[in-house]
Amino acid sequence: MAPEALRVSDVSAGYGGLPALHGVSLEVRPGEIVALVGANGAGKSTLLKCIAGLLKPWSGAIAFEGRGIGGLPAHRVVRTGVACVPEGRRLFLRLSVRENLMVGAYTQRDTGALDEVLALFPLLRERESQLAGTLSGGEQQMLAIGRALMSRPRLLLLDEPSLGIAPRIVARIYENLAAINRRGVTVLLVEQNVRAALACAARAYVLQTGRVVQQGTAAELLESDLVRKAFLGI
Amino acid sequence: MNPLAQALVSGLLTGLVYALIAAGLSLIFGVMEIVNFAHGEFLMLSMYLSFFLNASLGWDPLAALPLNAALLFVLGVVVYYALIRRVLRAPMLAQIFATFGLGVFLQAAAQFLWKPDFRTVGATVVSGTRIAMGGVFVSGPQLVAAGGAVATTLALWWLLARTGTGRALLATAEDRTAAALMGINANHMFALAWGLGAACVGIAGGLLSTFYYVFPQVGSQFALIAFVAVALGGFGSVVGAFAGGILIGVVESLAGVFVAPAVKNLFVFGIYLVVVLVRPRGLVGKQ
Repeated sequence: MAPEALRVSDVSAGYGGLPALHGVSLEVRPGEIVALVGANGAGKSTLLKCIAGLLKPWSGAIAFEGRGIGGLPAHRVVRTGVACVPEGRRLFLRLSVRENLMVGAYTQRDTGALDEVLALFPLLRERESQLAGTLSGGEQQMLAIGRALMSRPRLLLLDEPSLGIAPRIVARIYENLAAINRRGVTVLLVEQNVRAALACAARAYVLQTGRVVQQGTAAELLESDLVRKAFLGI
Repeated sequence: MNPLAQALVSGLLTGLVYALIAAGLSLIFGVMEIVNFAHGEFLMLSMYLSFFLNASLGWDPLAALPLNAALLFVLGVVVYYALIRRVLRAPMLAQIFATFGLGVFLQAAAQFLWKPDFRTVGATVVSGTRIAMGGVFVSGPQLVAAGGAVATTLALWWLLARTGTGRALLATAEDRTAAALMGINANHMFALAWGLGAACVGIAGGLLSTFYYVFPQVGSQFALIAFVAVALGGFGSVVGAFAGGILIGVVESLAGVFVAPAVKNLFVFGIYLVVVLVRPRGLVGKQ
């Protein structure tokens, strides 16, 4: 088996004829939390969409646990053990909290993950029969993460989990992510909130206009001039 | 005999059949935002199926209902894969022409193959039966049709609200990208919606054939009423379409009894206009 959980090699992609990624490569090792940081429009979400199967890469390869998943449609990527919490959460607002979780278990024969998810997010248990649309932003993010966990992924992709959420709740969501990671789920997250991402991740890649411009451990990046100037405003 | 009660009961019974036809139409629209303008022709085909099974094999249309449902389900799935799938990303006008053209084709084919004659299904177990309840007369075929429509709609509701497949359909209806991320193949769900929508109208056709003429254009009037029911109930809401169908049946019946049979449609479309102007999202529509 390949030593890395996820390997992205020289991936280029874009929308229509407009390129958004120019030959991006990165790897995520099993059990790691890796952050993908960068400004708006740097191509972070585009890369995540390529991995999740929502966007076909123009070129390059994507492998999960040694198996090529580049170009697979999203509904087949999930079955390989990769779950995605999309940008803006995209919950099924007309379904209840519980139904959202059940839909998350669509690829599973049983819904055994339900108890684990509700144990991780006790708030969701209280709101189980409420419509997802009635939840607060933070609760919706927790539900989106819980829904993704229902497919029992080994790799969890998250697109901007802190977007539009109160700072106090962001801290809690990152605690949840750490707890999920401790249970053996590898995490790749995309963030504009560089401080929160680097506090949680072991390693990070910095994307700028569709290219990886820097990579390293979170500690290294926090010290680097590029990150300090461009994202932390120091 | 109390004319008001009689009109209400007759209207309710007719309305329940309209409601089933509308529920199928609404399901397809709700899942993929394509209006099936061939819905009435699906109904017509189902009625001919009942007619021919009865005429050639002596089958009672009520006994043949599972076959109507199964064959129409297959028809819906085939139409999806052969036609609708090709216009999924096409402009709305192309989608309208695709289903409208299919409807015209089916109607013309029926006229060519089976002649424009009005046909009636021979004796069925419910033919000629009539029940009197508190001064209100109810025809057996209509009562059975209404009961079958209720049972079918309940089964559809159960499927949507209580099964994993139903949840996947609803999830796809709301956000097909998010549904794909959950492992749901949107294409399968779209095909399933067409199959179920067509099966609903297939059962409605079988039920109607016990008391209604079978002819190539029979679907048009029912489809028109189903469109109004779907718009009344709110596009995409199966429950709303069902309520809309019942409302139309009752209004039509009351207008027919208390004003004049010739103007009953005036009232049906009048209500439609009022709802569209005052409450465009429909009576129980979303958003």
